[in-house]
Amino acid sequence: MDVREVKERVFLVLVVILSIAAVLPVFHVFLSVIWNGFGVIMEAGPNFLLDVPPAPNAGLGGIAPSLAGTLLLAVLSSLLGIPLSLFAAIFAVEFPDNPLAKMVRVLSKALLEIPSVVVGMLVYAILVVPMGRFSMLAGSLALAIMMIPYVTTYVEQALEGVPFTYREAGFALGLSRPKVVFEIMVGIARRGILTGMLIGFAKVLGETAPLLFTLGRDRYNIPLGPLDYGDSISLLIFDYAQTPYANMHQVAWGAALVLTVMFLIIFLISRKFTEEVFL
Amino acid sequence: MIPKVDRGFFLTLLPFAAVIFALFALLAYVLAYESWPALERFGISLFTENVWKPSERGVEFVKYGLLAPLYGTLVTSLIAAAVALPLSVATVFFMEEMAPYRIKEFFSSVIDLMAGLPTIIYGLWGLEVMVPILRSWVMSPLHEHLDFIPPFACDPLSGASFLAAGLLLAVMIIPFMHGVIKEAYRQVPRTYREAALSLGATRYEYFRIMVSLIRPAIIAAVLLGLGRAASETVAVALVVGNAFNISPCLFAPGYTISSLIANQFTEASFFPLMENVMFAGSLVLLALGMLFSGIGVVMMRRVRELYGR
Amino acid sequence: MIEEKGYALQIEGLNVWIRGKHIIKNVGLKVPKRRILAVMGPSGSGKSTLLRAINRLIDLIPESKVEGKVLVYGTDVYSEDPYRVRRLMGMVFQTPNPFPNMSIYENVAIGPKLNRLVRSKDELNELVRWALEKAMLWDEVKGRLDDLPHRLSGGQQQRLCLARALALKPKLLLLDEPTGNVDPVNAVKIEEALRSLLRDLEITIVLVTHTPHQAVRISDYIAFIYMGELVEFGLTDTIALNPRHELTVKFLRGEV
Repeated sequence: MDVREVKERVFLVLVVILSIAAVLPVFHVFLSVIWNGFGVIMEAGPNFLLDVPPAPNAGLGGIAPSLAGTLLLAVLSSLLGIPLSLFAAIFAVEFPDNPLAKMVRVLSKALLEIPSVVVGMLVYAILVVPMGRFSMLAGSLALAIMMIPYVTTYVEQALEGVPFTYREAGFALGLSRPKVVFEIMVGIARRGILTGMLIGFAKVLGETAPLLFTLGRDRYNIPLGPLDYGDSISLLIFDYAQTPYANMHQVAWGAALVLTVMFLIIFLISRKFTEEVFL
Repeated sequence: MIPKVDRGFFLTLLPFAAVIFALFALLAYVLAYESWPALERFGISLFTENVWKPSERGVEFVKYGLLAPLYGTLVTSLIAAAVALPLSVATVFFMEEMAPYRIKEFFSSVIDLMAGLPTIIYGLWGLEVMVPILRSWVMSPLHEHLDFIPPFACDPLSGASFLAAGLLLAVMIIPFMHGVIKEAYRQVPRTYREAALSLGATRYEYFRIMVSLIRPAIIAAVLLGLGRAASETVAVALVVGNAFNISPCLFAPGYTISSLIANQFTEASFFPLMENVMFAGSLVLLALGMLFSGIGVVMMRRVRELYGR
Repeated sequence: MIEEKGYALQIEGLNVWIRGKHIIKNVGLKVPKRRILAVMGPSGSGKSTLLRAINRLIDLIPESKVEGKVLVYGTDVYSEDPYRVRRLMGMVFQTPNPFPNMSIYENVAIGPKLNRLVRSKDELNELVRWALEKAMLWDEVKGRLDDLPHRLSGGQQQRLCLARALALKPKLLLLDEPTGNVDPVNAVKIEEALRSLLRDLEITIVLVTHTPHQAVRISDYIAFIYMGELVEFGLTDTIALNPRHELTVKFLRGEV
């Protein structure tokens, strides 16, 4: 075997080892979450989803208010973020030469570069301080901002992927521009648009940093209105992981399993959408 | 010019676009307005000194300097990018050139999962699983046998440290850097690849040619990865140790700008100027991120122009 | 230009520029009602652009400019609301483009539905059936109106697009090489459908084609376009038997 061949073999083995090393940690993460979380949930039983969290060193309790908070936040932030992103993206695609449209295109992507914790600080400054209180509304607004770059990018791509001929066909039928966009283009691009919405949804489901200074962390009461304090599973994990109490660490693991399962469900649905052949 | 007939449609959509624009204007205003008092009071020393003396008594008693969190941000991001780069390049080459279809599909699903997994899950795993393992299998042995080397010189107390944060960040930015490199890799025209192979290159030599063809993208991946790592918050806050510390030792606890904000911003309103200091910190974070991503985007454009797409 | 009675389409001094390029150069022609005009010429000569200038789809193309007059059944196309104007006309494109996310039925129904041309479901059903019959597709699809169009053959899809256009009962039907991407059997069916339309309806047809045979076979008038200029225009019989221009002769022989 000459030097060249040795190099080649070493290189190939190295590539495989490094590739496995790159993905191995995430498996360890999943196994740890399942291993630790499953035990906790088995021990706590269905009350884990229905009860309030425990006092220090006093059993397991549950994560009901945080779970409700996470779900409500995802819905509320989608209500704010999805229409905004959808219409802004349509604007960018429909009026490509307009200077504001060009700007929107760049800015909506630039949102990705803003650290999520800074988004939290922004909402703290513009909503929490003036209102004098933390709220589900403030949390939802922060999450909606987080959502914008994902949804706009997917919607723009999906709409731009629709062949020009369908646009022409729509206009040739005498349809007005809004009708061509909403009845024809959006219909044809619906899978891409839905995928974008799901990905945005999955993104906000697990976010933590934007909620740190906006939500108020009330984990004993289920939020009933947009002005109530709230909590999220992610915040609960963040706080409980830093407590010195063993039972709270256990609750954190159980909550991590719940959050991971929720994330996986959305992930699989969005995968299903993208897998199906685009007609 | 918008044709008259479409003006209604234009005006209906305009507010939504304007909101996105307004968000940025607000962000710029808030950051500038909120950081100004701190910048005015401490000047450049806010970024060149390591002090953290909050006081409830009044503005004249406080003194802040963000050097330690800046140092921590830099060190942890650099560790993360340095570790993630070879791994990302390897996965791209493995998936594009070596793996059979099914394995490739599997890998790409796993990488998508890695990218989307909530960061708090990484944080919890990092704190409860990775840090203890690192401490007893990596840090302690290195410290015991190689403590004359400065990065290994200190005793890993809890294990929460620059190294732990850097490695956890590496895991988290791999999918991101992988994506950037993959995009560039796929843009290299088939003819170049065939030319390289037809010269009788081994796969190692072929790999080196490919890497040289996408060099700007690799720089872009590193810069964008650094930006990502610097802005990550909660996962880092759980494993970095949270101490104002500037030390060459990787096993020592530290702070990053974003983990400092995550930990102290909630109480900051009780202390004069503390909120303002943190806004100033986030301004630096944002400026660095924008700078890195700006250069990164330019680099990626170069790759695209090079290969005419 | 004053509307002259009996003409379906009058074009005068039409010029089109796209991105500064002069695509249509001073074209003028008149087609009487209930006739077929075949626009022929080599590819890239501006035929498709001419068609899109008639129904103002040209508006969709960035940096395009139109000068001149187009009258369709007396309506001045460029001084009216383009959306209203387009409703007078139907268009069939070179590549079959039924909306992929809508069923066969919905593809035909979408025009009348969104333009609010029908008042009841029954009326819509009736209209869809009528349009599909006119496009000679009804017998082939009547049992599976809810299927998606990708289940149809290319030729059937093209007839579906014809039905989609007909459902708006257009006065002027524009076809952009409708048989260019269709097998010969379906091409014949489409030609037959066009002929029978002319027999039964108040409709005028403009057909763009790059095959002289098709032009001669079914048209009443021929316009021969070369490099954006109208080289020759007249009755099909005259031009087929006795072309005046050298280029037309060459094109008919298949040399251009």
